[in-house]
Amino acid sequence: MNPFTFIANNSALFGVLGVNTILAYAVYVPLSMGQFQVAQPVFCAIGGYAAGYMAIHTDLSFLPMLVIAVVLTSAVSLVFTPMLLRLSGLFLGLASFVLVGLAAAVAINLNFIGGALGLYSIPVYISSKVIWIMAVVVIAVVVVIRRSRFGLAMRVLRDDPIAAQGTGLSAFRVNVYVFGLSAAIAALAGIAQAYRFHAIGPDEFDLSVILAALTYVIVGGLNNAAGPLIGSLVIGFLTNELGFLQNWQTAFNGAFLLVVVVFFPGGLTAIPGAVRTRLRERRTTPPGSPVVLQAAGSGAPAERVS
Amino acid sequence: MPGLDTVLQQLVYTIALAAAYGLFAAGFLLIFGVLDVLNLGYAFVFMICAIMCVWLTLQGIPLWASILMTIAVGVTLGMLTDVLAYRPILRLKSLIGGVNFGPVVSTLAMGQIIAAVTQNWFGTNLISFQVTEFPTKLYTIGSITITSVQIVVVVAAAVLLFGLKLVLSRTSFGTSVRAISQNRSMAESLGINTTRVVAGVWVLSSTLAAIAGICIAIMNRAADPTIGTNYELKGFIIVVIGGLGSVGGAVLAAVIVAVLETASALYLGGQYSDVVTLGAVIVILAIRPFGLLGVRRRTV
Repeated sequence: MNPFTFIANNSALFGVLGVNTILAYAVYVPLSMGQFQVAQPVFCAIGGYAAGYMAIHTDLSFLPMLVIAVVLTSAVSLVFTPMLLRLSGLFLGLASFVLVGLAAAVAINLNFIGGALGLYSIPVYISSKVIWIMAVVVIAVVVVIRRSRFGLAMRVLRDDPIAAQGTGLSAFRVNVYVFGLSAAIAALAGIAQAYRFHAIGPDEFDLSVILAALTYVIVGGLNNAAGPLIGSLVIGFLTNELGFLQNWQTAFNGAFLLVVVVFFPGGLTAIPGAVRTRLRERRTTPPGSPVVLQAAGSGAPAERVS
Repeated sequence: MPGLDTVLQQLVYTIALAAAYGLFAAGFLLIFGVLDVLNLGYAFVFMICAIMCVWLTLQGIPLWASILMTIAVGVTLGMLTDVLAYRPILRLKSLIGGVNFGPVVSTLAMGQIIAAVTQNWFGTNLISFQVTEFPTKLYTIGSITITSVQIVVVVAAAVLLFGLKLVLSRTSFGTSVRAISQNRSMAESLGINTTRVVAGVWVLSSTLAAIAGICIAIMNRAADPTIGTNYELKGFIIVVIGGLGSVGGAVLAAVIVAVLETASALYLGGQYSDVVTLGAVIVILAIRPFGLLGVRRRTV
């Protein structure tokens, strides 16, 4: 069976994979850049609800609604920044977890956006192909940013915040941009969800969603822009193919995640780099030479002690 | 406007609830404060212990034996988490922004495994104690009723939390724990067997989870798999509100959360308690971001 038929037959699966990939990138951006926050489902919700609400109550076409929803979500994210970005480290992660959980609980009570059922029968349809176009755009944006001066600023801030600030970099400003970017990408995921599946409700952005996204990002690897993509595809296919495990599937997911974190801390995308480094050592290390130091698992080049 | 009687009755319920929350939060806070680990699997230990306690009694095992066996299970799970999910991650430094997120993910993985085991072993339904399991005495003071179960839970929680405070401040183990939380490598070079002490912390934390689970199961006379996620969120909220300062902070925050919950259920109707809690969290984040009694620590 050729791949195109496969994709056509499994359109819903690819739609879900697409949404997951976009959300994974929304989680990847702050995590890989040093900001351990997981509030993305909240922005997923805001984007998705906004898009759904506009679709139901107004007559705008797809692109304007998309733009408005994303801009709205980014604006709302700015409201959270002064509150959240004063925190650092684990506390920020904890606080963002709390916000996700509480936001889902609150959304159940807000009737103008559908309460516990959410918005449904959203009269817009975008195909899985469109979702993957969105995903490709997101990936391109992330890659471009990583290579830009801003990407450099983010990495410097992550690796040595004091030195970075010593050069005049404003940690707060960089963090705000990272937060806003992650919120915008999350909004895209929410919009994709709303328009592909015609419904969005509190189930789509509770704690389990963020835990799944974290899994994709970690399994994929944080040092490579392809990480979230690989992670969500691998886990998506595994989940799909291993349906026969039924109730034990969660256990499998847990065990898989544990194995990856313990043995491949750099994620699956770090494996080629690590393999390459090992081979290179084997080729270039003359027999009998002293100990070779190697950075653990991240695929960074080995240093030789000589 | 509810009368004084209703308020007092709610107060009784609130105190019992706060006791359970306090136990849960104290265990979570131990791991968070001492090891800088967000133990996402903690709520699952809590859940499986609650369910196991009920299930064991349903198999005909007397209540006191079930409780002891459940605590043993809690201890074992703590050791397992330490060995499988914490120690292997320690040697690998996966840092994001100064946060070692490896344990966050690995404890999450452990939690998933525990959740799957629970689902397969016990099913997904609510299971309840037999009515004859333990006769509950009702004490009536004026117009309010207090059950003996509530008294037992509150007393047990108070004793345990106070005991925890004493252990942390008066024993050499407690001193080692505090030393490790401040500067682990220094503690190690001073001769403290950090591996053993940390194992002790994990066991202590999961035991608290187990006891909290047992208390909830007994108070509600039932247990089901969803209490894990509910309490997980509450636990996080308590840490956010109370901060990393001390066991006392956790208790205070637990009381606040319990009061907010029951008061908003009483005055505003049940569906608004989450909104109120969200408001409280936002207020705390705005005015005291590190929690009410939180101390800004070097590593956090």
